Amino acid sequence: MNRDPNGIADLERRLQALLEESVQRVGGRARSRLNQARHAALAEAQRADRWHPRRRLATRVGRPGLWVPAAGGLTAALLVAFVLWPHAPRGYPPAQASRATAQDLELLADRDGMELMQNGDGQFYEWAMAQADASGQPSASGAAAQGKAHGQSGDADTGRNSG
Amino acid sequence: MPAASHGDVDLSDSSKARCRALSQFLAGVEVRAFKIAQVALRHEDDALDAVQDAMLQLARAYADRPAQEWRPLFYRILENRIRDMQRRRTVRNRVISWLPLRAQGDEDEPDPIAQAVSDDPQPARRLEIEEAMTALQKAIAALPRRQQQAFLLRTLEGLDVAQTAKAMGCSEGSVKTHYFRALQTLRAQLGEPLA
Repeated sequence: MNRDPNGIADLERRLQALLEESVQRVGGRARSRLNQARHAALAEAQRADRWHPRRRLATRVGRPGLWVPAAGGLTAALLVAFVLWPHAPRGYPPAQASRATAQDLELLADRDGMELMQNGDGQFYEWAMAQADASGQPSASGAAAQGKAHGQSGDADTGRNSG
Repeated sequence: MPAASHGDVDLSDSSKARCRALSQFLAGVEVRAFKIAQVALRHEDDALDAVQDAMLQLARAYADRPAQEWRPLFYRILENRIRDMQRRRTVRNRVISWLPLRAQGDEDEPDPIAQAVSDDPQPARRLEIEEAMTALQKAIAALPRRQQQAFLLRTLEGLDVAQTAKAMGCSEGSVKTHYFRALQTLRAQLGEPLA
């Protein structure tokens, strides 16, 4: 079976080579400024590390006066957690639920994906399946292809029917 | 002695190792990040500013995160920065369009090193590559922003689909569609580049 039926992998290789070439040609002035920026960032990281609360705590951890407020803070945190716990929503954890909602909204807004699924000439499916084969894992697009085969609107990500 | 003195507080061995790792990471991504910003902003100095801001922000806020998270985080920050600069530029252009014409000679001086005559032994081939690169950069710049992002992060930076999705703040399926669309458009515009 041809793993690159539409020549897409070949196109990718060529484009990648051209982009690599353009990276090699980045001039000395830009490289010099990037070097300076990197050093500034590292200085910033050291400064942030020095003033990081955890780090400051570590430098004081041997001092006896530290333990009293720390124990007080821990007690307060436990108390707050105890008071709030029964009111936590049931079902999905909040982080997971909000992520799922965000993804749903994105899918509904993804018209590109819809068009590719519904009006495409099949290239996208072939490519997506080849990608999934190459990675050895089922992909979202692979699932989309299966969905289409069953007469559904397709990819959970890109082909969800918004209408 | 377990820690080296650095300013008023000692830097531990783990902090020094983290700084070294961060330095290596930044050195590894900086030129590609610059190219990505340059394609999006079409201006070298703006692109350098964007990369510098992204580096600073990563170092300031995320240096203590696991190193494998840095790459998508860095590109997420860079994309936000690029978007901010594009918005600011749009506003600035609107304001400038109301002002009298700028004086001639405001443009940046050409870089003398870039202008120097090349002693390349294969000028014809180089010219061919040069033309192909120019055409590619124009075609990428004309792509819709999300397609451009997906294409550059996947092809130039080599992020996988999951990392690209994190960097773009969207689902993996969306990355695939944006990326595939970009490839289709580029093939339609460029044919078979440097066949």
